[in-house]
Amino acid sequence: MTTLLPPGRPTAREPRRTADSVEGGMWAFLLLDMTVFALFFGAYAWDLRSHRPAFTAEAASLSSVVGGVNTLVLLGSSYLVVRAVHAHRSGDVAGTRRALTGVLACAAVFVGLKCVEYVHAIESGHGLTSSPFFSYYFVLTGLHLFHVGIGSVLLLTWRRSLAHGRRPASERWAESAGAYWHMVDLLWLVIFTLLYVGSHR
Amino acid sequence: MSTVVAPRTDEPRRALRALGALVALTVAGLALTTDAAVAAASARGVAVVGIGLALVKVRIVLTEFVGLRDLPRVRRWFDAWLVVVGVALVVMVVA
Repeated sequence: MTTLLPPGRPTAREPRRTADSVEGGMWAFLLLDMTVFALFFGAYAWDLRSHRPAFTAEAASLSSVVGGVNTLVLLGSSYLVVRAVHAHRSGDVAGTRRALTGVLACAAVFVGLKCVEYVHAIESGHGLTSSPFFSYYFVLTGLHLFHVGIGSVLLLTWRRSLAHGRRPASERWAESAGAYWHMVDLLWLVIFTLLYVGSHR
Repeated sequence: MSTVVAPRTDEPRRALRALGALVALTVAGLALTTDAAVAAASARGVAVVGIGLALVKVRIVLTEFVGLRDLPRVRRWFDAWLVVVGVALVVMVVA
């Protein structure tokens, strides 16, 4: 027998979201992945403190506008993921597909802008080993881009499962894919701050 | 017997409000890179304010988008991550 709890503040004993929710293992995975990035953030902040003039000079060649636009694009995609999960839970297949199409379009814009930035940096003579700042830049943004790719595949798989005649992804699967995408978004928020804002001047 | 949390009907509206706040904080973060902000504050000050803004944004994403406001036990782990990362970054930038 299943008891349906009303939404709102959790009860004294936190309700388990059983089969319809992100599992403990997924939370642990997300936290672990975020911690790996946190180690890179720490190393970057340490080197920024030690070599601020060199880092600042190198960071000046990055466009904070492009970084800012990419941030807004990812934030918009995260909002659309919330819409997609909500529509999925409500059984609104068309709404879910629409929202996921929007998310994937945002992902394509993000990847496109990142590629433009990479080409510009490489044409300017910067590379993975050209300086400590650009080593961090390419490793951090490259790792993040890899995560964007994985997230896109998860969302695409979810969207394809909604095609006519197919078995739709479970709610738990959809929520886990959504949580992964949100993690991609929040990691970018820190990367953007460290590379584009915190290293300015 | 199992219990399931019913979907919140106000979720998209709350998420839209959160998106508005996140966009505003991002624009505020970008403003830190303008000449005026750079002239008004030290490089370290800009970095610390930027990190603060980023952590607030991360918290909003976690509670409003990921939905951790309904999962206090999970939220505590992510809050701990935020505190550790935030303090470490600020200390490393300022010290």
